[in-house]
Amino acid sequence: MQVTVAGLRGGVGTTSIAAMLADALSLMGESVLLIDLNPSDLLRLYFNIPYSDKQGWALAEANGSGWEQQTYHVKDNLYVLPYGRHGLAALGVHMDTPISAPALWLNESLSAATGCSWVIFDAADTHGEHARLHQSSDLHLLVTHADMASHILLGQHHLAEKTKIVVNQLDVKQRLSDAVLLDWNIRYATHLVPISVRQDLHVQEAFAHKMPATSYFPNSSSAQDILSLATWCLVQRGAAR
Amino acid sequence: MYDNKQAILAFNQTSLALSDDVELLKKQLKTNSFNYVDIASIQAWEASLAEWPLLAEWEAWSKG
Repeated sequence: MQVTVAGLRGGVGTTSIAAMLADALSLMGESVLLIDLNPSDLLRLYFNIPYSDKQGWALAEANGSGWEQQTYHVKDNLYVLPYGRHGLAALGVHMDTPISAPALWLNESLSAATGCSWVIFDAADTHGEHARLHQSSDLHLLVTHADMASHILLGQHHLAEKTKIVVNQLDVKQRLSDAVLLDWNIRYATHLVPISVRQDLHVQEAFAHKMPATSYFPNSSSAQDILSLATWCLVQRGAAR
Repeated sequence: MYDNKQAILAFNQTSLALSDDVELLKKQLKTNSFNYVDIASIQAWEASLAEWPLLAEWEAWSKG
């Protein structure tokens, strides 16, 4: 199952959702390869990888090494392939230089090519170099807040059939969020994932400990919501088969 | 002896089995397009449109 996780706009918590979802699926016994497409290379920091490390797929593309050597085995059945920001910098490649999509991405079955049941991409956005990945993915999670700006932006966004909207950092006490979510439930129907991830400081605190909240604070509301989201993803896989 | 097949056949002749609504519901459930929104939710949604002008403006624009 190939999944892309992208934000409707910046700052909605796309990377934390990708990290926690991958962690939750691995906790459920699934094998997962998590790939960071974002040049800021933050995803690896959720999995206790040193900030100074150079490994990543973009480095592999630049120096001709294989993606396997760049992948971290972070726990039993969870693998993380970072971007490789510092590796590129060490080679003298400017960060704005577009890095072409590796041949690995073009595989018809990434699960078969990587040996992992789940291949999850943390995509910076829904456009640009990696847009093709959105087409080849089985599931495209579009992360957003339930607020007015997102309401308008979502209206401007083309929703492909496999695009599903995930509301992150939902403040259950906010009446306006509730109104927006109600509108989306009517307007976007089956495009709206029936589970929202509640606002929870544990996500940031776990990140400060270099772990996803699903492992560091397993009883937190966000961890519980993500476990529900992971279960929903398992059901989607069942339906796709 | 009670015959299941005959009972199913008999049911299929009833107005319930032949109802368009039931057929439509079956089709919607199969295509996964069925979205249950209750009347109370619709009323709450209408109230929120009255309360938040931008929500109402965008709703009108999107239907235009």
